[in-house]
Amino acid sequence: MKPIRTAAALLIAAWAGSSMAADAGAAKTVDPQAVKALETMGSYLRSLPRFALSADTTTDFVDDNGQALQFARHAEMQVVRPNRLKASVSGEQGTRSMYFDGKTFTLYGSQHNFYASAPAPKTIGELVGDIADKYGIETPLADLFYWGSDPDQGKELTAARAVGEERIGDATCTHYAFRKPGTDWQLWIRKGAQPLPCKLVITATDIEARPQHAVRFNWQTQPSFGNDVFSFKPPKDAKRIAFARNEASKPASAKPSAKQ
Amino acid sequence: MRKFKATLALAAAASMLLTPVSAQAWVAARTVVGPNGGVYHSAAAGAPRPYYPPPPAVYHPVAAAAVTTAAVVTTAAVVGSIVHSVPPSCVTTVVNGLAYQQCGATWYQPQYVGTTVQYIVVNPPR
Repeated sequence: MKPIRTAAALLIAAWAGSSMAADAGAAKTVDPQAVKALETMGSYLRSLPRFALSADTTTDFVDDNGQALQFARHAEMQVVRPNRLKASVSGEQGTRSMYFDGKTFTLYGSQHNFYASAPAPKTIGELVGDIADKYGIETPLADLFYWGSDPDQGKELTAARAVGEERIGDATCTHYAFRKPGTDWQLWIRKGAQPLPCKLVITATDIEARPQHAVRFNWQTQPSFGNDVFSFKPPKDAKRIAFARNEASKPASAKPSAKQ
Repeated sequence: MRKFKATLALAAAASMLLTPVSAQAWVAARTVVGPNGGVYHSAAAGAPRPYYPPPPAVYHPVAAAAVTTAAVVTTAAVVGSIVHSVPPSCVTTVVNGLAYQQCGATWYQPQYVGTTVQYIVVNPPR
């Protein structure tokens, strides 16, 4: 705790040295420039026709004793707009991958060597909502692309500010801090012509252990992959299973599914 | 609204394909449907019901899996009940293109609930 405090104090001290003093009031106000930076990043992300992304993530889980345990994972993602996506996450339960080739959505898990497939909508944007509603599957990092697309997004923030510039990997990134009830989050956005997220930290402030989720992003905006990466080919001995369909998403005409 | 939702969903996305907290929550919501908290599409009145507690909102997946595996071994399986794992002695059989696990007289159908594999007790598929 102490080192963090010290680091924060240093940042604030550095900030105070600039023309905008970091007085107590600054932390409680929404700086439109910080909100604008989110929008700029979001629209830049949405402008990329294709990209590859790898990310190292840590996610805290609070155990029954209130202790936060941090789990590390590695994620890989390849995207071609508007209708191809592959994402894999490796962690304590093997590797899980999702494939979308414009027609079919497949989820595969290496731990059990099971996969499930279903017809998919035509675009990534539609897919994200479709699989969340029907199957309870969240698309990795999908929200990055919505940032800045909702004009009301700034209204929930109780604080937003630029903290300063920091070095992350080989990039210089601007550090932003945002607050809203129950959640603090920090985002580092690359300086220059490619305003990509460098790093993200989300802190739950309404849980005593203050669990965090952190992501370090590594972007390739001119990736070299073929469209074959988006087509699922079952590995040896992989077995097909069904998706459990969210009850609420079933059409009224749907009879109890064949899987029961 | 969208903004914060986006932030939280990103956290879930982190959990991403791995430990779908949101999916677990969904399971819990489906699971808590009776005094015993289990999922039953049909169950004989008065018959003892196995109780598989829904996982806590935040839990360790490995520990939870261990608990429910023990439950499978020691209780009768009721059609419609859901467990996180099946005993290793079960035999995998493919029927109509989909995998089932046959464990003695009990058949389980594995399915993805969110990105987590769960096993639902089904009537013999053939």
